[in-house]
Amino acid sequence: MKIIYSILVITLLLTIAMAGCAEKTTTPAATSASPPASSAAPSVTSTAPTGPQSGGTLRIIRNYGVTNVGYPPNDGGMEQGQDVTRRLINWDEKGNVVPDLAESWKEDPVNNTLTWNLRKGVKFVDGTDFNAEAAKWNMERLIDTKRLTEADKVKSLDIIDTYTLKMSLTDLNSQAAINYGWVAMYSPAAVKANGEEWAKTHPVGVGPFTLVDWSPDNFVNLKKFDNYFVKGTPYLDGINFRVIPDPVSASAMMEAGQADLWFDAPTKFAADLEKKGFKVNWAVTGFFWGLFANTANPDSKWNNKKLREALEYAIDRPGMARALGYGKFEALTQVAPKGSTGYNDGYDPRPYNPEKARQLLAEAGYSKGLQTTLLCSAMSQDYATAIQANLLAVGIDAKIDLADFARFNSMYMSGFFGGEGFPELAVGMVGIDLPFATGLIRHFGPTPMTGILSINGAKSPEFLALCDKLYNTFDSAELTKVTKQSVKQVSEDALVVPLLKTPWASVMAPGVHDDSSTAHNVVWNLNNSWIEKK
Amino acid sequence: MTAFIIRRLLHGLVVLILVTILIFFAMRLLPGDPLLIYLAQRSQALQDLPPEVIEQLRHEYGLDKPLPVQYINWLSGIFRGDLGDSYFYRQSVGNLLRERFPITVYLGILALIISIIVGISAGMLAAIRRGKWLDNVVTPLTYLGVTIPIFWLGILMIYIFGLKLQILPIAGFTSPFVDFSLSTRQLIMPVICESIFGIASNARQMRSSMLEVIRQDYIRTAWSKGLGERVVIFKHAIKNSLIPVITLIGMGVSFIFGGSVLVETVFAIPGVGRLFVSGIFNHDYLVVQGITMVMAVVVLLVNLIVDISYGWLDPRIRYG
Repeated sequence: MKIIYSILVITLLLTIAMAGCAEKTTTPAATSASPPASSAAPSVTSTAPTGPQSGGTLRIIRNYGVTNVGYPPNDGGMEQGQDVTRRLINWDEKGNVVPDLAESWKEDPVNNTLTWNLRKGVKFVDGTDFNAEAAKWNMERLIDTKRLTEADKVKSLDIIDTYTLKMSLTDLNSQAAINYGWVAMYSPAAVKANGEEWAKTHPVGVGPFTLVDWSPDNFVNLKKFDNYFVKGTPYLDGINFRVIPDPVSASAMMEAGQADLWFDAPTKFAADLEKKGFKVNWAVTGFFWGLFANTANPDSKWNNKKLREALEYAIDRPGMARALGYGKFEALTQVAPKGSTGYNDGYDPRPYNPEKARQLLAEAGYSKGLQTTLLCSAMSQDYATAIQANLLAVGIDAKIDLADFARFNSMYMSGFFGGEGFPELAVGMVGIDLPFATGLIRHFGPTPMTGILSINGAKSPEFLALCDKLYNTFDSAELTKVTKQSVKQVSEDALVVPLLKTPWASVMAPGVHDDSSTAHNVVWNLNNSWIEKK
Repeated sequence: MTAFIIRRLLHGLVVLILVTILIFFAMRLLPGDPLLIYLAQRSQALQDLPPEVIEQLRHEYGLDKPLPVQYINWLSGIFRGDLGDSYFYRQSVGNLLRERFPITVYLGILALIISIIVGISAGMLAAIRRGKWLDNVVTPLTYLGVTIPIFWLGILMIYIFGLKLQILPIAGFTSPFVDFSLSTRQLIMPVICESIFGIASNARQMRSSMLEVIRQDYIRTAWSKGLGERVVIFKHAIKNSLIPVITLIGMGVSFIFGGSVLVETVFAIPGVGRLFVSGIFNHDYLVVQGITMVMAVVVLLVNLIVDISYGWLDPRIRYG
C-alpha cells in the first residue's frame, strides 16, 4: 500500500516538475498535428529569400472576434476591412495618409468640398466595376444607417464622372478625408441582387482576399482574389484566422508550429516568444495609458491645477515601465509616444520628483495629504496598484475601485452620453492613432469620441484653440507643428498624466513575412504577406 | 406514471418562468451599458462610431423601452420561437444557439458517456477488489479526479501532448462531418478534461454503493447458490448499485454545461460555454437569457428522465 502511494506521489511530482521546468525552445518545431486549412508549414530554418514567394495559407491566431462579417451596418472587423475589401485611403508606416481606392483627393476649404478621384480598373469580386456610383452608394448606406463619422456635415454626394465623386460639406476640416475616406467599399450589385439578409454574412469587396467560410468566435477562411487591383499580389493562396481566447493555448500553438502568426499578442507572451527566437513586430502605436482626474465636476478638488501637477510629479513612470513592461513599455513624458508625429524631443515637463509633489500639495492646501478614489479595470489593476503606492508616498491616499469592464467603460466613457463619469481619478487607456493629430482630437479634443469628458474642465482656451487649429490646418508640415504644440498644451494644462505606452505586438513563425503591427493595428496589408517555402 | 410526468412538467414550467424573471432582471441589475461596451470595442483607432449610433442602436434593440415591456417582448418572442438578436454578434440568438449548442452537446455527450463507462467500471472493480492493488490505485485517483482544476489539467495536457509530444492539436474545433479524424484528435484533450470529474465522482459513488449492495443477504444467497462472480455482480448487484449513481449522472449534466465554459475557453471550442462567457462580459442580455433558458430546459428534462429511471431500476418505487 505504502509503495503504491509513494509511486503515485512521485509520478504526480514528476508531472508537476516537468510542467514547471519548461525547456527553453529556441526555434519552433514543425508539427504533425495540423489544424484545418493548414498552411504549407513555415520552414524551421529560414532561408535567405530573394523576394516574396507565392503560395501557402497563413494561419493567424487572434485572441478575440470574429463576431460578424458582412456589410454596414453589420460590417466585420479588421480582417474584413483590409482583406475582403479596401477603403478610399490607407496609411503608411509613418502615419501618412496615402491613396488606396482613391488615386487622389482635393480639399477645397473655400467651397467646403472634398473631391475623390477614384482608381480605374478596380473590380469587385462579383465582376462589377468599382466607380463613383459604387462609392456613393457605400457612403449613402453609412449615412442612412448613421454609421459615418461626421455624417451630419455631408450636404450632398455628386457624381462628376465615372471615377470622380464630389462631397459637398457644411464644414470642411482637416479630418474630412480621414473620416470619409475610411469607408469600406462593397459591391452594390451584390447587395441589390441577393438582398439585405444575404449581405449581412456575405461581404463582396475589392480586397486581395474573398470570404470562403466563417464561424463566429471560431475561424474565418479567406482565399486569394485573382483580380485584385495591385497586380502580382496577394502572394498567399489564403488566410485562416482562428480565434484562440486563451493566451497560454495560443502561445503553445505558436511553439508547436500549429500557427504562423499571432496578432495582437499580450506583451508578456510576445516578449517570451521573442526570447525563444520568434520574430515580433512591435508597433509604434498601441495603447496610451494615462491617469485622468475629474475636472468636469465644478466641485472637484482636481480642478486645482497644482494637484494635477502633483500627481504627475509623484508617479515614477520609468519605474512602472521597468516593473510591468517586460522591457517593452515606454514611460511617457507627454501624450505622444516616441516616433509619433506629435512627439516633442526632450520634452519632459514633470519628471518623477516626490518632493516637488509634496510641495505642490502643500501649496494647494493639502499639506496633510488627501484621500481620493482611483477607478480601474482588470486591465489596469497593476498600474493602479503602482500608482497607489507612488501617491501614498507623497500623502495622497487613493482607494482603488476595481470595476468590471462594463462598469468601468460606463464610468470612464460615459461623459459623452450624459453619464456621471468617474468621481475622482481613473487610470485608463485610449488607442494611439496614426496620423497622430486625429488621435489627439478624437481622444482629447473638445468632444472626444471615446467619451472621456470627465477631464473637460481642465481644457484651457489655448488648448481648445489649438484643437480648432488642428481641424482647420490642411498643410501637413503645419499640421505636424500644430500637433506638437497641442501635445505640449495638454501637459501645460495638466490635462492628463501620461503614464505608459503599451505596444501592439505580432509574433511570427520563422519564414513568415508580414507587416502587421509595424504601422498600425488597423492598417494591415495582408496582400504583401508571404511565407517562405521549405 | 403519466400523471407524475404531467405534474413534473408543470412544475418545470413554473421553474422556467422563475428562471426567466431572475435572469432577465439580474442581467439588468449589473452595472454597465451594453452599447457602451460595444462602442468601447469598436472605438479602436479609426473605427470610432458617432454618438448618435448609440441612440440608434438602443432603439433598434428595444433598449429604450421600460424594463417590464422589454421582458414581456422577450417572453412573447420565445413563444413565437424568436429569442431576439444579439447586440454583439449582430445576428439572432436562435441562430447562434443552433450553431453552438450542437458543439457543446456533442462534447458533453462524449464526456458523459466516458464518465459513465469508465467511472462505473472503475468503481465496480474497486469495490469487488476492495483492499487489493486495483482498489488502491483507483481510489486515490478518484480523489485526484474530483479535486483537480479543469483549467489546470487542460493547460498541462496542452503542454505535454500538444507542445512537447506534439501528438494532438492544441486547440480548435472541426465538425466530425467535415474531417472525422481531425475532429476526433481535437476532442481528445477537451473530452478528458470535461469527463475527469464525472469519472472520479461516478467511480467513488459506484464503489461505495456496490460495497453496500454486495453485503446484502440476497447477494450472499447468490454466492451460496454457487453462482459465478460475473452472474452475481452483473445480474444481481449492479442494478441496485446504480440508483445513487444515476442521480449523480443527472447532476453531471449540469456540471458538463458548467465545465464547458472552462474547457471551451482553454481549447478554443466555439460552443455555448464560450458564448455564455462572451454574453456576460459584453452584457449581451438576450444571448445570456437565451442560453440560460435552453440550459434550464435541458437540466429539467434530464432530471425528469432520472426520476423516471428510478422506477425502471427499482420497481418498488411508485409514482403517486
